[in-house]
Amino acid sequence: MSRDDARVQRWLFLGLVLSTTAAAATRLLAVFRFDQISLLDVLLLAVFAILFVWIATSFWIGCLGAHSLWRGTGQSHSVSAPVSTSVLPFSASSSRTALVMPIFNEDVAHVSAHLQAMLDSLREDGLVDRFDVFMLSDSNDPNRWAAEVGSWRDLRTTNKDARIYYRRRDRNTGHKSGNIAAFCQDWGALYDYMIILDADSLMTGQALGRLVNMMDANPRVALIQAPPLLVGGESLFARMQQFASWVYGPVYVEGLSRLAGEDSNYWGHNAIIRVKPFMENCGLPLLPGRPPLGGEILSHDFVEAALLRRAGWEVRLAPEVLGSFEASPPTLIDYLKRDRRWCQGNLQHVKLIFAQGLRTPSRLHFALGAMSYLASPLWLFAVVLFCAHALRLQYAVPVTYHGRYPVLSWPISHSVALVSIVAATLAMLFVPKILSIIVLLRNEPGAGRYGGRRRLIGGFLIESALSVLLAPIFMLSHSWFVANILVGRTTQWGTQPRGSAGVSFRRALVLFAPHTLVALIVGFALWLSLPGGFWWCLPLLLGPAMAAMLTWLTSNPSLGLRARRRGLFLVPSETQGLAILERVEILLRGRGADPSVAQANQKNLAA
Amino acid sequence: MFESGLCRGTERGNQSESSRVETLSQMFNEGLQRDIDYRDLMSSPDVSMPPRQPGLMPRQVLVFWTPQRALQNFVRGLRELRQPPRAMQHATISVPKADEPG
Repeated sequence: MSRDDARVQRWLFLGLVLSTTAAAATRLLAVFRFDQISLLDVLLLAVFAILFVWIATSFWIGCLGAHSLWRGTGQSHSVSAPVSTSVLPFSASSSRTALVMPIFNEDVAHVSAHLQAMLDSLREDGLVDRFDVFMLSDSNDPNRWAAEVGSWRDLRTTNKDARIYYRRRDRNTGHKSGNIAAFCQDWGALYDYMIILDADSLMTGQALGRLVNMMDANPRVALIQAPPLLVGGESLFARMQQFASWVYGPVYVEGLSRLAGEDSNYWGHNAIIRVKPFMENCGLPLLPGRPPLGGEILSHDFVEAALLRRAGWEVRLAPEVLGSFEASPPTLIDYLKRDRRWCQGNLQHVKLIFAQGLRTPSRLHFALGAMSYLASPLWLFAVVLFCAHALRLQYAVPVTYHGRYPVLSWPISHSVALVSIVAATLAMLFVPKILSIIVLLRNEPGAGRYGGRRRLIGGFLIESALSVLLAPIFMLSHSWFVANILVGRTTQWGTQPRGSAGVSFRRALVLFAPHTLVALIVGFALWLSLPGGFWWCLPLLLGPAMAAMLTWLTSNPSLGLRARRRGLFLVPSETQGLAILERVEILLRGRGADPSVAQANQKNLAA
Repeated sequence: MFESGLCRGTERGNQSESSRVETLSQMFNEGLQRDIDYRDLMSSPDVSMPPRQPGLMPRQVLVFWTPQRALQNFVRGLRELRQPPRAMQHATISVPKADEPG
């Protein structure tokens, strides 16, 4: 796609988003105009328009991706000269590449198994001597550190043909980005590229080799992000996330890649980076003000991509690179803990929208990232405003005055208009998912990889139902996070749990008691004061009211296993097998559980 | 590739072994020290990294648009508009006839 085509596509996209929003907002305005428009109505209309822009953006990205995949033009445009076959002309490359895995108090058995599986995959493709592997530890837990050194020695003993290095910092200054920066300052000059991995990253030898090839072929590109798919989920929650990532993810990634082009984003791992421009341009600035919104940048990835773009380098998203995987947080609680950190990082980015010299698409990435979390309090605010509006109408006297004479005005139902607005909102949320299913059913090998059509559609329906229940829980939690950050409460950048041990019902009940209480109190108040509104709000109240039960059930690994046996949420890595993942599972079974992880889990439970 | 010139696998390569063990011992409580032999961790001959090639990674500077800055820029622009345009002085270059072609 030429630059002019991309520019036309972006303007078209903007036009579609704005016109969709205008259509929905006009419909709502028509309802409000019937009575006199109040300040409350104006406020509600403004919040609704902002939220509709947000969901319309996601909707049109999904549509663009579905269109591209439907026509079969997908996965061929992200980088101008990608390698299209699985046979790698990698031997021709003289580039030096470092595989960099920053770790911080991670489950060492897990890290080691992932590295070993990647090394095995590289060996199968004859590429193992092309990469130098670095375990960059920031761990401050002595047990973990000892285990890391032990596993590093084992890796070196097992892989005599590979160069595997281990470095530990005494202080984790700058967290993950500081860890990578310290590596660059000491050893970056030795390498042309580095591939950043998370502790749960898994990339096949083919994918790693292909990324190097793409960098060799595109000297103006400084960063290529290989979109990761979720694998290895055991609990029902992780399996649901995994199913969504495989079924809906490719459509969104394709749309995003087409739209963003050279202005794509970086997601922090499973990406290859040209080291020299990274070192020259990506020393992270300090943000003005104090934490949580100022100081050290926490979500470094978006900022690094923006800085590379500012310097004129291209940043690409490459859906054509298959074989890039990561793991999902095992439970809703772990997912929300991660969201708490990301929320703080993404809200910091709001300041960066107003930084001079950045490109507009980079600013949009920052804005969309922040909106992922700001949307929740806005939805909550919108619901409150809708209820207030309905209450005002309910208690209004149905009389207007012509001069001194009262005229009885008959109440008029706006149900049809309101239902059409709700339907449009739901369509924005669900149509891209339906399009993903249609694309999968049409393209070969299609639904068979998901256990067949019936199971694919069944998975979609159950995932959608669970999403409807979970969405208000996310809304309340994110709103709480945002409020906390805005009053200055900061969070620690911790470790993400990698295995699933489930959550006890008691713990879930304690943690989600505020959600349940809010749902019950609001439900009761609505039932008393606004019985009609109660039924409208019921889908929003059900999830939080059952939050503890939902968390307990979806975190249960045995329930997840049972779902897998019944064919629910099956993904191709399970139906067709994925060699690298099977290798990880074999290695983990062989090594047994990491005792330090068990200790940490005990501490977590106690906390 | 990098096996020559080995250095220790921590950032404090030039610190003596005993002082590093002391530093580490201070970090953790005695119960944990019983479980881990730090001397073994630090003195392992395998703990190697490639020789360092120090490079700079300068901290980037970001200037933010603020209402004050936008106002300052606006005022500066207005002042520049009020100033009389700079007189343009044309340069005269004389070319000796001997250099002219033909």
